[in-house]
Amino acid sequence: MVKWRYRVKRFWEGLLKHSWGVVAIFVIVTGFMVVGVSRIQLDTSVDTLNPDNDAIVKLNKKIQKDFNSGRSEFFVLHADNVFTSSHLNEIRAIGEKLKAIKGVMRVTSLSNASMMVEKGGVLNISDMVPHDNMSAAEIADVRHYLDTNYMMKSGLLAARDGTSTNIVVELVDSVDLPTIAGHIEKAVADTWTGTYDLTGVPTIEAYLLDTVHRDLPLLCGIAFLIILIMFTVNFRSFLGVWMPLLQVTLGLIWGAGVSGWMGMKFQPMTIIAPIAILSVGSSFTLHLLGRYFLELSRGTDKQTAIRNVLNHTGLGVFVSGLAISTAMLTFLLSDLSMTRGFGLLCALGVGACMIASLSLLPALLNLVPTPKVRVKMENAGVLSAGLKALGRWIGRHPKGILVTGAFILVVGVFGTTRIVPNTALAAFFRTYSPVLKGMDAVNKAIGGSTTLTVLVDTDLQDPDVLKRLLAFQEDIRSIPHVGPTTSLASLLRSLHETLTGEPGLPDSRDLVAQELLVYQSSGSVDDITRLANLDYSQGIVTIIAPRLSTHDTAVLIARLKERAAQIIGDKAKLQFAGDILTETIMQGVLIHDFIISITLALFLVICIDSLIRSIRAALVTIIVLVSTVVAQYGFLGLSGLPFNLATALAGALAIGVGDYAIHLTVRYMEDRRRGLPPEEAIVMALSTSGRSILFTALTIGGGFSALTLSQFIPVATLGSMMVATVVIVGIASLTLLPAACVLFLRNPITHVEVTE
Amino acid sequence: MSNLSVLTRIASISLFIGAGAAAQAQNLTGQEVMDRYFHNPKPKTAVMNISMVISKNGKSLSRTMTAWSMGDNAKGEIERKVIKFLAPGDIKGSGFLTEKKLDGSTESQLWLPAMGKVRRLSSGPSDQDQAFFGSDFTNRDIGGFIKADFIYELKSFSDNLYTVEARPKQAMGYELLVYTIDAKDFLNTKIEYFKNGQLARSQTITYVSVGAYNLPSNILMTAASGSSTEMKLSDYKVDQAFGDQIFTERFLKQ
Repeated sequence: MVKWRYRVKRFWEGLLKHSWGVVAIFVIVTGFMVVGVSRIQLDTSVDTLNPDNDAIVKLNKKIQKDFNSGRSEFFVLHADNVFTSSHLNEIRAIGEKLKAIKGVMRVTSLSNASMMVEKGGVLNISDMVPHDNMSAAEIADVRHYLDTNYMMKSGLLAARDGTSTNIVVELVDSVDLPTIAGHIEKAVADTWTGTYDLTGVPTIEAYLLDTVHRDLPLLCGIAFLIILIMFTVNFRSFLGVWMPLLQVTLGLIWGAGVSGWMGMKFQPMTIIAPIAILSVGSSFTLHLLGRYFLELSRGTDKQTAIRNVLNHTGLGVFVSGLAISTAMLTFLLSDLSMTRGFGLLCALGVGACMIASLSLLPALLNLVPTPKVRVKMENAGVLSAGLKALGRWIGRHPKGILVTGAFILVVGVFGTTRIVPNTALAAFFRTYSPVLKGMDAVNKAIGGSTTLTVLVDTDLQDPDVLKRLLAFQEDIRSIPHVGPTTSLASLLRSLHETLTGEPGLPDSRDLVAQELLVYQSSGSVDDITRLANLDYSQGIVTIIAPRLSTHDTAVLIARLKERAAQIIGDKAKLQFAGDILTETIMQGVLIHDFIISITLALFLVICIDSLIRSIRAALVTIIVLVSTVVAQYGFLGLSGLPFNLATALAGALAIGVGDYAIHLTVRYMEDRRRGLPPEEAIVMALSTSGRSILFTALTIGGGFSALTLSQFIPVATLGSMMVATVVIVGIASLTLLPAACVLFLRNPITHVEVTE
Repeated sequence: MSNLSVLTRIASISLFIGAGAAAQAQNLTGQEVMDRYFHNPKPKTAVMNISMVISKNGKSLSRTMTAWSMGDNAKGEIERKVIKFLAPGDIKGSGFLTEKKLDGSTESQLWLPAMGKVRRLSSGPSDQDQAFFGSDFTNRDIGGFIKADFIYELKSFSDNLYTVEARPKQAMGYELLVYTIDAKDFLNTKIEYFKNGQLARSQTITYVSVGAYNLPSNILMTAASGSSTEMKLSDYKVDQAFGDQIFTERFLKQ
């Protein structure tokens, strides 16, 4: 241990001896990291929100591949009457423009939908709008067909009153959806003379990209400004402002730079990471500079003050930085790439802030002139007096405080039972966002803006199976939120009526096969395999549905499964899939990730604290962290905020930001070793470390409060939750922790001698 | 103007182009190469068995049929075809009789034995780019390309093979076709179809000698989307005088 301490001291001495060298190294490394930052790419694909190894995600991909479906964009074109020659010309022109866009796999609209109409004993098969300038009689035929055809009368292509028509654009997998979303919308906007609404994954991804571009600089700027104000108020010194900001900026650049060199992509939720780095990283410098100003206020010369800062506070910052980085690294165990990216960037950034604080900061302090001390850092002022009074009160009533804390904890546990998860994509956006407005409009026109798919394993040429499938489709239309449905059964229902004039399905296996032969006579392989595979052993039922909350989606799917079991029974094996189904499984994945990351983070913090101080000290410190996590999720449940992608991160973040409680126990233990009784030692610890804890809480809370302005609801919710968390940590660190120290840490043993 | 289809191309390849032609072949323009390709004489009538296997994602759909054809739009004649399905069992006996008129419109009669009646179907010229019986072939591939619809450009000549680019004069399902033509007999061995700047489909053809003709024995169409269709053609009978009685509702129902 002595050898280790000797080496650390030699390192500190080296920093002071070669301060310009340290600065030079930082300049070079930062230049290298800036290049890394420029390599970072944005990835706003909604696929990054999906778990990597989930069966539903794999099933979605299989269905997409086997049944030739792609990501869809839904347009609803509005007009007084879309069934005019000029509007139909526009729809045809839009269809042609859309098909010419690279990456568009299929366009379904009034203009290219097939129409089979009997005239004079001859079945005419053609596109619904086969040419420009349709006559009034031809338009009347189209409207009649849409009103009477089994598959069309659900309103999939046009509203029955003629005030809107729909276009569905499906895209191949390999295209950049935000880019193509712009091309697609331009094709419609340039051609359609009425109004239109749109929604779909391409539009959502484009909006996500725009929002990241807007939020990232805005939120970082606000967080930067708030932190700057906190440092100004705390130190009232120019040096006390620019130096911490330099450290966190370097931490941010280094963290992002390493991520860039590692090929990591910046995703929508990663937006939280820079704010977390700025907030948490600034606390290191706050503690170090606090000690530096304290030493100067005691009249210590500059170099000795720097040595004292490093020897007494340096280890606390090192432990804290290591613990926070490790807590963030637990996110690497997540099944979500977005969470892994967030954890890695946070860990790298916080680690870089710690390194900069423990090397560049002392080197710079050594090089710049000694600042004037305008603020007394200890034993002075109203704040110090208040903290001392608090310490004396805690010393008298430690049990009462802990019992009160335990009661609040019980309330928190109760609150956690009221948490409502909502991991739906729609819950990302504010009600006034164009994405939600488009979704609402499309939901009203079509009955939904996404699709649920039922994979059916059975003999699809069996007339009984087809009848049951059709009965299922007709039955579920009475369930709220179920839009139009399609399958091989509904296709055959439509075809059979057209060919025979009789409603119903073909009643023999041969007739099923022969009517399918008619369908195949004009359809491509991809057309045919949209509903069933080539040997008719597997098919899909597509159900248009709105994007609901994950709870409502889960209820809807449960009802669909129940109806399917009753109507189809064991005639077919059914598997449900679709984007919104993935959203419902997300909450399970998040809870799993949450439990693992919290448990592991707490365990690692205990291990790190124990190695450097003592197990008992670590366990006492952990009381604050556990209480904070319970209280923050209790707050989540009681306030009605949802458990989602972002708020799932709050637990481990709380362990990160809450670890500054370490500084209080460190100072308490030091005073105990100096012979002060526990009750006096806690008064001393509070009066000296309390100020740092308060300003750390204000700085971190202020930084995280910037997140509340995000356009992403989960990010904004996390911002609110982190502000509450910082308040809770602050209160717990100034009440529960001192009480626990007085009761449980009366005779602390430590491996190393450190002081705050 | 000449029209060459899978069904009629079957009888379109003559052997009159000798080895001497190949010696001076590299001096031809793209238009001249395609002139020789399209001017291969074709039989007046053809009958053949076709085995078609459509494959995608490890699943396949097989159809066996007999086809009869006569007439040539390019010569001002109505093109008539009858296709009768032999297998699988659930569609056996089903048949299509098609007449392609000079204006490009098509009238068909459809016989489904399980339904027990013939339905008359009509479709417009735009259906030329629709798929042929759910395969990777389009009706235009089957019905044949018209020489005058394209502008040709010779891109290369190597290993006794011409590569000729054909760009349609008016919009159709593709923006570019790339032919590979064998200089020895002016048979095309490969056609690549480009759409939106990317290869959409690719067709390879092998031939068999039937009397005075070289006729396709195997045509494989592979789509970029992952599906493929293989047609095996056999039991050719060409230039038979079977008259108009083949192309009737009565024959369709037999």
